[in-house]
Amino acid sequence: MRDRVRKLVYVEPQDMDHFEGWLEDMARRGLHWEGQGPLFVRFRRGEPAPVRYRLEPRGSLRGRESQEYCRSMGWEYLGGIGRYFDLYRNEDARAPELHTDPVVRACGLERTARAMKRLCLVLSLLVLAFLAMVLVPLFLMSFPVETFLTGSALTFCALVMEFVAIASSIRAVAAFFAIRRRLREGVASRRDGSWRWVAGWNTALMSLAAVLLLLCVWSLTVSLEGGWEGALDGAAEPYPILALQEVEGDPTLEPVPDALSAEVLGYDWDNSVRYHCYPLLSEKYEVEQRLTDGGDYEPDLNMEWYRLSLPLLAAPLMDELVYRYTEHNYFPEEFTVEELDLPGFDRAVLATDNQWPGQRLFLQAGRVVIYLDYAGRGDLTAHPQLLEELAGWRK
Amino acid sequence: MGRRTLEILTESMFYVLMSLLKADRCGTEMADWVNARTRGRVRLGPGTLYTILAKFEEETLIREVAVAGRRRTYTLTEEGRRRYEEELARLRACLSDAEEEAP
Repeated sequence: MRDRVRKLVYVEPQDMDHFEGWLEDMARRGLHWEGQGPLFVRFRRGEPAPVRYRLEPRGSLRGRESQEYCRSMGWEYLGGIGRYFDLYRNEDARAPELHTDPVVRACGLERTARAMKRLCLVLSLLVLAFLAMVLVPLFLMSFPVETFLTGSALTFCALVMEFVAIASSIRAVAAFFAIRRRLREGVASRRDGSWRWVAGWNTALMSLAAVLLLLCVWSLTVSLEGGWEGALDGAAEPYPILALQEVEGDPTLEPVPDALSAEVLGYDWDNSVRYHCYPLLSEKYEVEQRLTDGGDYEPDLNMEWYRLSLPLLAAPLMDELVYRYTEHNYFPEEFTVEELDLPGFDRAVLATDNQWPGQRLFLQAGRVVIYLDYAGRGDLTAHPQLLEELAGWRK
Repeated sequence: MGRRTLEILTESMFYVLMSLLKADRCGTEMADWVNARTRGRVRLGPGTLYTILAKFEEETLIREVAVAGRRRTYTLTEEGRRRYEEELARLRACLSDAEEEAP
């Protein structure tokens, strides 16, 4: 059996009564405090003993006379704990308490209380700053839903993790002020087994923070690595598509080659597909098609196809896409927008271009949201079967 | 909080002031004096004793008059004496009320 044992700091020193109670319980089990880092407490194995541990505001008993008086009463100075406290131990059960007057003890905590108020202020400012960092850009963006789906989820995850991380500090500081209030009222400190409740709470918070951290890492990995792009006819994986030839009813239409993009990208941008995935957006496809009849007619169809991880975000995304492609930076007279009743869809919105032959069709079926931008002589709504198949597409 | 804490002196605080009425003393001498004067009823733990001394010095109820080695000797100031008398009057009034109400 090892002589020394490390344990996570289950109870923060600011929660003085519980911290002292924890150390005393450990001593009764034969584990005696030896040292402490930011995360772990080191215990030395020994005989189980009813040892008393007490925290004092840092430096309050450092004078030579007071140290001598402490020693004469059996109080041994062990060292500093965190930023605010010194730790004392007494193995003599009959020796007087380090503090024999609770009101005076509360009085001695004044300086520590002021430091903790400053800490609370700094923590609050940090939380507000972080919150502003996450939320302000979102509200300033023209398209907050898509921004949230494709990027901010990671930041939100980190935000929740930060709240979880500081929750235990906030609880400990609140406990400190509650102890100080009780002491001022003359109520002596209680050191019972209730530190276990605090330890359980802190363990749960630490576990949650660890899970969120893993989620952040996973989210980042997925966002950075989960995508591909290429030409329509040479795509490495299947993808959803509403074939432009079928919309046009002309299977003889051919792709218009784009030499520049083929040279720069290695594939024809006008007839290409791009795929991305994010934690909140499990699939996003962008499919471009541009065909020609060999003469002047060159219809094109661009599609954005979304499958969301959270169904509740589908309706806001649909609203945002309609706004984005019919109102944002458009004059009101450019499109005639109407709600359609298409079988198999929760919602369908058609925007007809009033100046040029073209349509914009917005579809939502459960977690799938589709935006089709068509320029040509055909009618997207004339193919409900194809649209239903498009919405029901799966890998 | 400083002033509010000292609005009413606790028993420990009161006896620390009392210990300096007739002689200047260092901390351990005060603790021994209080222990003897109260026949062990009031004991001053090190934390309590030195917190009181620091607070009283800050509030100018006592003043350090000598340092010899590790011993720091304190004396009662005029303010400390006035505060002691004030508390004594309050306690006397309490006692008087209690005696009048006694069956």
